[in-house]
Amino acid sequence: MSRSWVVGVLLAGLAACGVPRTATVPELVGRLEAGDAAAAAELVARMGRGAPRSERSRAYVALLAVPDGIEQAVRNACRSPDPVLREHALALAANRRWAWAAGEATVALGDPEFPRRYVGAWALGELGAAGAADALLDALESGGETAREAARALVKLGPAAVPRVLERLPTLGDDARGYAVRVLGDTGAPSAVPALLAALENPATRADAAWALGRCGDRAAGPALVRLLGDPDRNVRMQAVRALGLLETAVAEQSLDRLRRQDPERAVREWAARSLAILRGTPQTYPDDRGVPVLPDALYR
Amino acid sequence: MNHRMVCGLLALAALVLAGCGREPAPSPDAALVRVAGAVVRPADGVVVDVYRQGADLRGPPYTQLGPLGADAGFSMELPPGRYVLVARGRASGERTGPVRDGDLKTDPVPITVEAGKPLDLRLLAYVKRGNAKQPLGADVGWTTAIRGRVLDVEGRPVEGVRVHVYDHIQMSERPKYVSAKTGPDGRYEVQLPEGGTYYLCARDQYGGPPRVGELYGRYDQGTVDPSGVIVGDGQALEGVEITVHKVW
Repeated sequence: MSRSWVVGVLLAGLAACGVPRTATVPELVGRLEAGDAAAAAELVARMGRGAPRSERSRAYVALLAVPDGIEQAVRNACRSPDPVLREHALALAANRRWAWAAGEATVALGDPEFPRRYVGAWALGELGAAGAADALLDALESGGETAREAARALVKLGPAAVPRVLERLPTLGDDARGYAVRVLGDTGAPSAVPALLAALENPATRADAAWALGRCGDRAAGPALVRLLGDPDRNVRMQAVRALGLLETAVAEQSLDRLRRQDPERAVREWAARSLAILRGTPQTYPDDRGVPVLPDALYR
Repeated sequence: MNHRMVCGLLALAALVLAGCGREPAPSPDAALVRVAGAVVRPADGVVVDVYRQGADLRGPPYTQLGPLGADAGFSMELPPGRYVLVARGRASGERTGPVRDGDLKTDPVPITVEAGKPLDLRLLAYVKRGNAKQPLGADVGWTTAIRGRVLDVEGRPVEGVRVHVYDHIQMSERPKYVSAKTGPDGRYEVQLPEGGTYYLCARDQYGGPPRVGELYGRYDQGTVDPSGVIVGDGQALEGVEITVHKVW
């Protein structure tokens, strides 16, 4: 007796007993494609908290591909009180590039009752919503995954976001300012260099600003970075030696060589060896914790 | 033909057929012949991982075939060279990850592919019994470690994900070290042979780039590059938390 025959008999039995059977995702897609409008709402709801996680993913992937007929149901779900459904709907709307998606994402990002606000930031970054820079800068103050995703989104917005980041930078709290400084570094905007040099003065943003100056590529920042090589914070020294390698400025060669050999922190010695290798054009070893000379990983391959 | 005649013919046919199908009675003096065989269950749902010879069989394969259909057949074209094939069938339906008690697997099958010489292979899978696990590094006395929790975006522990540890910032190719799956408390531990700068991510799948629907999170501060985790020789670094969410 084949398995499908047994399943068929069981399903028929259940139907006869009046037990409702939940349609599978492929069945719902089939109904939707056949013009059954009710299937859209059912399929969208399948992304919510009531469904097992694997089922939510199946519904989400299916909804990425169905041609049309679901837009209104997804838009309704973007305001759902179920945070899981809302999260899926916002991600789906962003991936489908619907015109209203940026507006819903901005609302979600600013909704203090929504515990998955990060997805609003993610969606705005995916959509390249340049007008959302302020909403994303506000979200940097939230901390956690929301702030992290807002920073990623600002980087995706690229140079279009830099003027607003520079304008808001002095007014942000220390943590948010750290995120903003890193955004400026990842954007690599030359216009950010004066603000980043100023950020070197603040202990809360010093390490991030050193790293960001390396990403911006302005060799004029070299002397300020060399001054950080004696900083008591190992992270500051590490980011400074990292940046000096990226700037390829000869002004740092002697200092880098000293840190490569003598810095008490292995990670600083390792980054100094990497940066020195860029300056000298040949691989440079550094002593590991047992004093054995080793080569750092070829990071810039 | 009338009704009574039809019934009679049917009854006669039934008697003839019954007689034809009857086994002859075995003679008590006849020599017994042992008949042996094997019942083969078609290995549908199994994947075949193809590795280059010398590659780590626990890592991502050179290529993967399947899940295979009901006939368990597979076909591929490979450039000449030496390879190792392993078929694995996980009850969980996952294409990657450890093979557990009750799953199907084959022993590694080394093959040599030569130009113009097609191969026809038969892979014999068996059911794995026993699922003893030992934390990576425990048997060699590694004391350097990174510990922490994997959380979702609402700060709740996430069960069933592994932390992958890389020693290069690109986090490409296979991870250098991998934790056991997190339990309900989301806690993980990765033991390491030495201190250094490591790059971490957590995910519920293994192998290849993160796919839509997968849980994934990288340890970083919102930057394009991951943030390094610096741990000293012999140090057990605590509290390294990684947030995961679905890949959209």
